[in-house]
Amino acid sequence: MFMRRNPSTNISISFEGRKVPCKLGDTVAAAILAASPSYTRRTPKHGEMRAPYCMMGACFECLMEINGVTDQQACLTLVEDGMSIKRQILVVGSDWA
Amino acid sequence: MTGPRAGNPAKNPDAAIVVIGSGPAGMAASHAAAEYGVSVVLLDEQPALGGQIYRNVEMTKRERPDDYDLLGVDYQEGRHLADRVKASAVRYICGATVWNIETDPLAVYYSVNGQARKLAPTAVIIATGAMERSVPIPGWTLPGVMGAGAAQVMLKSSGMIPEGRVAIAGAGPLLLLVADQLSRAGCNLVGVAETTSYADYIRAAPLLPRAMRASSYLKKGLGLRFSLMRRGVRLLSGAKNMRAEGDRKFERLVFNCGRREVALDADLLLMHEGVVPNVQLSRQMGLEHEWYDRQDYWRPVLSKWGETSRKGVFVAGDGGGIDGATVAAHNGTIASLKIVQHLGCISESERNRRAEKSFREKKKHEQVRPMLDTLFGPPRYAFQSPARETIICRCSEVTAGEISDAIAAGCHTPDSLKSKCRSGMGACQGRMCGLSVSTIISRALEMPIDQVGYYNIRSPIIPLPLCELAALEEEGTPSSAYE
Ligand SMILES: Cc1cc2nc3c(=O)[nH]c(=O)nc-3n(C[C@H](O)[C@@H](O)[C@H](O)COP(=O)(O)OP(=O)(O)OC[C@H]3O[C@@H](n4cnc5c(N)ncnc54)[C@H](O)[C@@H]3O)c2cc1C
Ligand code: FES
Repeated sequence: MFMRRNPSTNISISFEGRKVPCKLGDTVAAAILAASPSYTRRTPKHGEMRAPYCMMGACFECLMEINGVTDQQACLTLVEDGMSIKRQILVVGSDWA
Repeated sequence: MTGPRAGNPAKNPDAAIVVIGSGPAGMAASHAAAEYGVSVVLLDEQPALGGQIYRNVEMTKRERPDDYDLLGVDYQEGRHLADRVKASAVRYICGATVWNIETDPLAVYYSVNGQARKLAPTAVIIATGAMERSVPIPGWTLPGVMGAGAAQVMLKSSGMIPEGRVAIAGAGPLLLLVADQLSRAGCNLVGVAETTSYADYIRAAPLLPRAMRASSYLKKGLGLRFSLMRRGVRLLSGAKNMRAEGDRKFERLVFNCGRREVALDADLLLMHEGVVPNVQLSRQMGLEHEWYDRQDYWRPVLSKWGETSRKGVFVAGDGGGIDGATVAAHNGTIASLKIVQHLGCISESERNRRAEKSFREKKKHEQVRPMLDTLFGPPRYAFQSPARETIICRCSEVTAGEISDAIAAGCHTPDSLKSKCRSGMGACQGRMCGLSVSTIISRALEMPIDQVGYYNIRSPIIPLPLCELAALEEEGTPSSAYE
């Protein structure tokens, strides 16, 4: 969905097991959006696919699992080398379902 | 009301003033207070100073000069404020999300890196700014639909631009700014569908002479329009009945333009209908709010100095009403001066002398608002009567139809709708649907919206693991009362 104006990268994270090159200073949401993720979470009720919407901490559409911790706002989290990122797929009955 | 006095409140060991938000308002406020030797903690959930307009300005300047140029002088301006904050005694804590403010006594709760903390200041300045107004149209939850401001954030904070074809839709000054920035960055814009129509321009024209007193805004607006036209970007005005279509992801924007139906095929849709105050914290605190019907949003009730209905709690910047970055910074300074004087660090006459310039400048900049409000005013929003299938609450996936049915079944307040349909119960806690829900009820019952009211917002205002709450140490000095 997005691309870097300057393609150089210096670290990498993993997204769903896939290696994603990125740059120190990127937010996790930005790094993932640059890797054409198709979606980053599914909704609890209908399993709809969603992706980051506001990029400023307001919409909570970017909730992902970061280093094993769920409910993380990817647009407020900076990437770190080797970070493991997963889509958040919650089911009805979980905290924010 | 009165807590135990811990010596000189200006030297409160926690911080005499906690400022929340490091945009123009928060940076100006922090710096102004620190200049008088008052201890200030500045909290922001973002990784860097700047707020929305000056997002990441220091790093962009240092590491991405091309982006820095592209973003223009209005962005670069932010670096002066950031430099001043950095050079001052302000304790700036980034990545710190404030999730609760208690009033008796005053206490600010926030989390950094999954750790909850508490500060007990003497005064608080909420400078949490604005967010893009929600634009509920069918299909707006599809991956590939985002806020136009969000795309701008991608550019400011990460040097990224949309790949593939981009459609832009909505209204407001920021819409054209983002369109222009993306177009100059080489993005493929397939069209800008403006919900503003020629009739709006005609209605706004009589307000032009007054707005000319703040003519720099008008020049900028016209400049953006010409720049886009020169680049051959297709501008379509008077767009109505928008919907985003696509299977699993956004594929096309469809809307009516006069009698025509227009479809713009694209990979990304950027929507924007202006910005509205982010009232999450002021609501959580139970402060008094009022409905501003020229722009259809809630704002906290403020004194001339920005003080809220709770003594010692101030709101500065776009979080108190949308007036733009320059006014936001002046409001920050004004609120700080009032507190500094209250703490006894300056006299009333010194305060008034220092604040005079900010009040004057602020007034000048506010001249453009009546025209902008008319041009991009709410009655023309194409989004007020959403089709039944439109999702209103994105988190809990509640549609306009479900909300209408619940209203018909007797849910006449936002909170009763919340318990019935779970709208506003998800992670964003009504940030995205609050305005829409109040508006829908007001229209359905033909009741003034200030009577309908808003969701009752409770702390914590972010999803917070229980263990984090439990681990909160009961440290902290009792706050010195702001009396
Ligand atoms: C996405 C977006 C992009 C914009 N871009 C422009 C632009 O390019 N040009 C322009 O003229 N105007 C822009 N605006 C309008 C904007 O409102 C500016 O007028 C200006 O940024 C307002 O300044 P402020 O200091 O009031 O708040 P902001 O600059 O919005 O700063 C508020 C800060 O508070 C922080 N915050 C919010 N809630 C919390 C919390 N609970 N805990 C901790 N921190 C918190 C935020 O992270 C943010 O950094 C934009 C608005 C948005 C929403
Ligand atoms: S994208 Fe909206 S909160 Fe992160």
